[in-house]
Amino acid sequence: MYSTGRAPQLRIGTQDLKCKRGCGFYGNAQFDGLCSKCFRERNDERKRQKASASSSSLVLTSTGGTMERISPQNLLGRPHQKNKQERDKQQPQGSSDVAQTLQKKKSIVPTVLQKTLQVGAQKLTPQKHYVPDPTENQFMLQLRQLGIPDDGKRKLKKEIQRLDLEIKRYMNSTANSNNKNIDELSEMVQNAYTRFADLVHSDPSFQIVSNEDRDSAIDFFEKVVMTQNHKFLFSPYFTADEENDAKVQKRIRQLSWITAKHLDCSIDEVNAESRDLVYNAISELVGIDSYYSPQEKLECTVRCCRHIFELLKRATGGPASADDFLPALIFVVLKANPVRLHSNLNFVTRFTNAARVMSGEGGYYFTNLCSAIAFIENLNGESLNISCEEFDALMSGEKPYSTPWESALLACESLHLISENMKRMELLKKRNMVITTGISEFERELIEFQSEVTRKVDTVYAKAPLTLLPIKTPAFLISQARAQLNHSSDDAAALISSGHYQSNLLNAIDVKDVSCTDKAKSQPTLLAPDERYADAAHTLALKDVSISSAGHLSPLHTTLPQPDQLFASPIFNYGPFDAVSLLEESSDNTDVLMLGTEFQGGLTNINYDFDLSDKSGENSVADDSNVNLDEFDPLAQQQEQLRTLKVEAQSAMTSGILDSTTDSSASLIDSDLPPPTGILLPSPLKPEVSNYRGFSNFDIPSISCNTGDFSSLGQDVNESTSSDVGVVAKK
Amino acid sequence: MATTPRSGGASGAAQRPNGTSQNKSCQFKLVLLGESAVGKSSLVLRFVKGQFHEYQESTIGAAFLTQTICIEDTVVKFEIWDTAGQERYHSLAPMYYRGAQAAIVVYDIQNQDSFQRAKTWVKELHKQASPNIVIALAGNKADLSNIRVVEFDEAKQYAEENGLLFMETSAKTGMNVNDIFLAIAKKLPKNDGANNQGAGAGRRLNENETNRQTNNCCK
Repeated sequence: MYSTGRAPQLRIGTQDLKCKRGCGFYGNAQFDGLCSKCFRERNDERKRQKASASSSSLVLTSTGGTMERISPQNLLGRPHQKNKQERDKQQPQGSSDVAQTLQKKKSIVPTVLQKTLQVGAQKLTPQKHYVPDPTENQFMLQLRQLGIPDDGKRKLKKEIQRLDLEIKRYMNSTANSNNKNIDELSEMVQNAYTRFADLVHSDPSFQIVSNEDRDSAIDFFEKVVMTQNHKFLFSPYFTADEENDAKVQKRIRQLSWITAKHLDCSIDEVNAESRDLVYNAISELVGIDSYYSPQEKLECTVRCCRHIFELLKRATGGPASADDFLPALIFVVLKANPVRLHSNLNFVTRFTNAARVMSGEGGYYFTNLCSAIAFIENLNGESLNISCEEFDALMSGEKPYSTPWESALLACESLHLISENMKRMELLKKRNMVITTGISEFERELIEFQSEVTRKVDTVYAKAPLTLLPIKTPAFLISQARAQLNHSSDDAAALISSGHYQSNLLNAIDVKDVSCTDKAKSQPTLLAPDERYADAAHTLALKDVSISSAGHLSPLHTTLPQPDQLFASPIFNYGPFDAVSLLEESSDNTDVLMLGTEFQGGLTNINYDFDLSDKSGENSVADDSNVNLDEFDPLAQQQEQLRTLKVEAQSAMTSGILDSTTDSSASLIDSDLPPPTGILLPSPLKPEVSNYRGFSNFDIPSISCNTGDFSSLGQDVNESTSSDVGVVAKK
Repeated sequence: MATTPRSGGASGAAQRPNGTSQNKSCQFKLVLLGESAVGKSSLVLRFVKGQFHEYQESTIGAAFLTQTICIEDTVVKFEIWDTAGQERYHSLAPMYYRGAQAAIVVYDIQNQDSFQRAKTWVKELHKQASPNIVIALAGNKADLSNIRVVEFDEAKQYAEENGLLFMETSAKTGMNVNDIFLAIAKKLPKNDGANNQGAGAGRRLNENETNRQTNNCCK
């Protein structure tokens, strides 16, 4: 519970590490806390003693210098080793503050004086050859400092020895070993206290002494006896103290989830300063166990409580009342979980002057400590203002908990993590912002773009009627164009092809830039072929021209036979003229190709076509289609010419002139690319296929489709190859 | 002569023939009981820091305080033990009032509940505390009597029925604070020897007590 890195105050200091004989060298626990030299000297001394002493003193050397706690059972087994007992009782002093002060004092006392003290000590203890330990020395010094006459001191010593013997006799007696009673022992000691107090106040040798000196004599009496007999009287084997210690300790461990809030206590667990003060209080509380006399234990308790008051004073801003103090003390006890708590409390209650725990500051704080333990032992959910179920869950560990106390210790790590995550979140937030603004920006641009496009389209629409106007204008221009075309058909065709391209391009993209004059220019060039080839069917040609100039907006579209469109693969979607071309494509294939090759000299085109023809070579189907087409339409003669022109234009495009075309025009052009195959689709097959499909709508659509496709495909290829072959042949 | 001067740490042996002190001197343990926030500690702080401070211990807390006053020729040292008033600590109270010669049960005149709790305390003291304990009932916060809930007469009557000293006090104005302590001091028996004996051995069983006294006498 007290698991922080802060070193408790009551641990071994440098002084304790030094040789116990005060030679200045460091001691070793294996050498009974002596340095190697002093240890050897002492061993020699003991050997000499052994030679002369009785067998009982043999045990002396076997006693270790460690702080082992001799169990009373062991002592009972060897009841008469008084020497050993007296040695044992001083061993644990090594770690206590008392020993530390003793060390200091001892170093001050000259060796000569120590010798005289040894004489005094021999008076106190029956064993002549007993070497006094620092505790004894200190007691001797204190005895000298007492402001009572020598008579009184002698009486004091006598009383101390008497009580000491009484206690030891009681403890070692085998007669009543089965029914030893701690209360009896306590009574005995209390009576001895009372007796001695009477003596001090009534004996003539104390008459001239002041009350303060009397009190200090009484204190001294208690302190000496208790220190000497601590190991017997502290948690004796015939009491349940040890079991209770373990029980309390376990319980406090179970209660580790309790926070200051549960106890209505004003300790700020997270505040570093108050935590420091809590540590001070905890150190003192833990230190209670390291003292031997009840007085010292009480003093330690008082110090602990003063720390708590200090703490509360800062928290509440004034002297704290018991309303604040008791919860705080309980909190400190819970967080300290001191060892042998029950034993310590019982030891003080039983063997100190009864008045000491009933009155005075020490008594008050001791009572509070007892109350705190009682509270902890009888703790339930109700006393913590939580439900019984929650309490049980917390006690059994089912419910996880994290107290501020523990989490404060882990705070550094967690805080680090939190700040790290916060930074990351900040970064992500920033990025997210950028993305969001980017998106909105993009959205805005999209809208702008859309409006721009619509605006442009609107302007195009606005201008579109203008494009229809040229129908009236040709009269002047057509004559011009006709004159040009009459000079040489080749030149004119070249002009037308380029013009056709230009007009497409301009119409699709640069609508704005297209001026009326440009249109006027382009119109005639386009119109020119019509004039040239078809005087009779003038209107039809004009229609076609208007279609081509308007681009994809085709008024003719609706006039075209529906089956074509339905049947049409992508090829037919591109333009009305394609659809129109289908009607009579193959009839004049040879002518078209001838023309194309004539003015274009498109070697690339021919080569490309040639490759295709190589892979498939059947001409029979093409002948069939020709027959069909011939009978199809009377207008073929005129339109044929138009078609040829367009095909020429297409071939020009394919030959790489149109690399830099824009999307809209490109789509047009792309659509135009396939025509060599598309155009060649046999018209007679169409009705058959459409009919066939109509019948097989529900039964076997897949098969019908496939067969239809295959047939058409095969025909396409055949047609194209035939045409290509034709071209090659022409060449 | 039965003596336990050890408990009278300040001046326990005034009755001694060669005693140094002229005046009689005795020490009393006084316990403060009452619900939390009724002003127990304020009352005590007022008393300790008020006009009577012949000496004043450094007050690091208001839970344990001592105050010495003089009545006639007797020096009375009060040792005041505060108790936690919260309901959850109620069961711990006997540890505090064990061996006490006096108790002040405090309630808040604005709070009926605190008065009921006070009655519970009184009942408990009569049952469990030492039989000759002097109990005083203090209705605190008397400066706010205009918004009182507990009537003076009601409390007065209750106090008389149960043999309690009764006063309405105000730690804020100081009203009746010293008076109530003085009244207690006057009511306490001043034959300090026996009194202190009782204090010192309060936790002992009676038979043990007598045993020890006989031992003393034999000596």
